[in-house]
Amino acid sequence: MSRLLQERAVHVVGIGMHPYQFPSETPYVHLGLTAVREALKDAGLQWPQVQAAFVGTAAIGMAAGRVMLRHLGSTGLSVTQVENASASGSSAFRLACQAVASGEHDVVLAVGVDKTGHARRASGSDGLSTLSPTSNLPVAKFALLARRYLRDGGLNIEALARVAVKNHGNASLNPYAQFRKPRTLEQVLASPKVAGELTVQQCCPRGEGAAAVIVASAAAIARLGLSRTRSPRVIASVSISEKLGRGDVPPIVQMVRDSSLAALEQAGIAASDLNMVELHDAFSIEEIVYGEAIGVSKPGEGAHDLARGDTAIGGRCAVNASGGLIGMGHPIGPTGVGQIAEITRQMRSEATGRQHPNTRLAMAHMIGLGSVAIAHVLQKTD
Amino acid sequence: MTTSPLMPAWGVDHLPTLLAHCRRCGTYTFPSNAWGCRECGDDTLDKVPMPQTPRLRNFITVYGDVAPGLTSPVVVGEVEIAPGVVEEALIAVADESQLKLDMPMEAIGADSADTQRGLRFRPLKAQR
Ligand SMILES: [Zn+2]
Repeated sequence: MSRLLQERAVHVVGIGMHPYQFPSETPYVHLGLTAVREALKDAGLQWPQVQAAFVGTAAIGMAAGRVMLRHLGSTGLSVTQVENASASGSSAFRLACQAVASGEHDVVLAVGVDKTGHARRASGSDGLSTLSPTSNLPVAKFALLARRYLRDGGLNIEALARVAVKNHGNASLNPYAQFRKPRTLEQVLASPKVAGELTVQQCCPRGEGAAAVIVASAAAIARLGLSRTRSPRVIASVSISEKLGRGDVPPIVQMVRDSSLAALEQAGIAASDLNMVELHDAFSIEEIVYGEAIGVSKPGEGAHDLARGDTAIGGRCAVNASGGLIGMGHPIGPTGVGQIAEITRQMRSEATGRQHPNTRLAMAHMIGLGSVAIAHVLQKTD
Repeated sequence: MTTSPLMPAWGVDHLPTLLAHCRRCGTYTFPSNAWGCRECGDDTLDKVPMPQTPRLRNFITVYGDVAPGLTSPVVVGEVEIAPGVVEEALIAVADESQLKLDMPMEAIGADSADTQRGLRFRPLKAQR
């Protein structure tokens, strides 16, 4: 993949969303089609021009793609469903990029769509037992990580709560976000405790929604008369899984470090070149720890950078300008695709009300249960 | 199997075989019926008890009823049960005030020697 994306340019030509929302009776087909139709319109494409579709979903069930996409017309395109836990959408996007970069296709859709409540985790079916009912539960794992981070850094709970304040604030400016209310530090701290230092408002909500992104080759952009300057280029795509821990660095943090470093190397840039990062803040601690692992902040300085506004919209490197998983929501299948939509919107200067100035280089980073990590770097097209 | 001097009894007269020990590379894997060595993948594994006194490496209180079978509030710890094997485990204390980082622990309450079902940890008697 590393050379493929350099040899054959892949651009994001269209984006579309169905707002993330609390669980409802709305069929997933409606959620998904809303996002896909918006992405087609945004790109200026007709459905028959799309040659392949990758559908990221974790909870809907088998064959979600064709059941949904046939309502756009039965064109016979390639349809593949992708499940990779929280990284389902990111993985669908990666496969869409590969399909274009490899030369197999010119115009490819990645759509993430999900409903809440039906996902089953394989970790309960491996025939093995654990020492605690929390062992496969992210909230306990990240509360433990938070406790360690605060202890090692001599920090208090407010350092974590500021992540939620920033991201709820960003989400309040995002019409696609599940939460639309700014929250104060006092509110975040006073919300019910879940585990360790994590309160409810520092945790992502359960929800549903959809996000769609259409990628195309430079040749297709020229041939179909699409806008080149509205179409950021994907300059890195990396996928790895967790290795055993070594030393004091928790395996999940090492995985974020390794995946983001590989993506930066593939893009030929340094972490300090990034103007924007969208990352997996299912729990507040993740944003601080991953920000350091990616290199947005120096080790141990993530909380300090956040307090100083470095990671706010308008700061040195905006982290989760969308509102992140905590504020925008985390419907699983759509989440990673939604990150790409947000970055694209920002690079086009179309993020009304929450525009981060001069976004030229951005990373979308996602992790998934298990654990897996997917990293993409996008570059503004002049 | 006899009770190791490092390992206090936990209700029966021998220790639970919590771990798999790799004949090829010597790595410990949890649990003992793991399908392969987490380091090298070899499947020639021996079921063994904890080779050291378990140590409490981290702990929190879980407040919400976040998992089936969990009555909150409950203290959950990260316990090093073998070199490099740190597992989340239930800590049998009333609250966190009885805990100190890196303190030695003892296992209690498993249903039988061959299962970790029901197993919890508490501070080693001398520490309580
Ligand atoms: Zn081995």
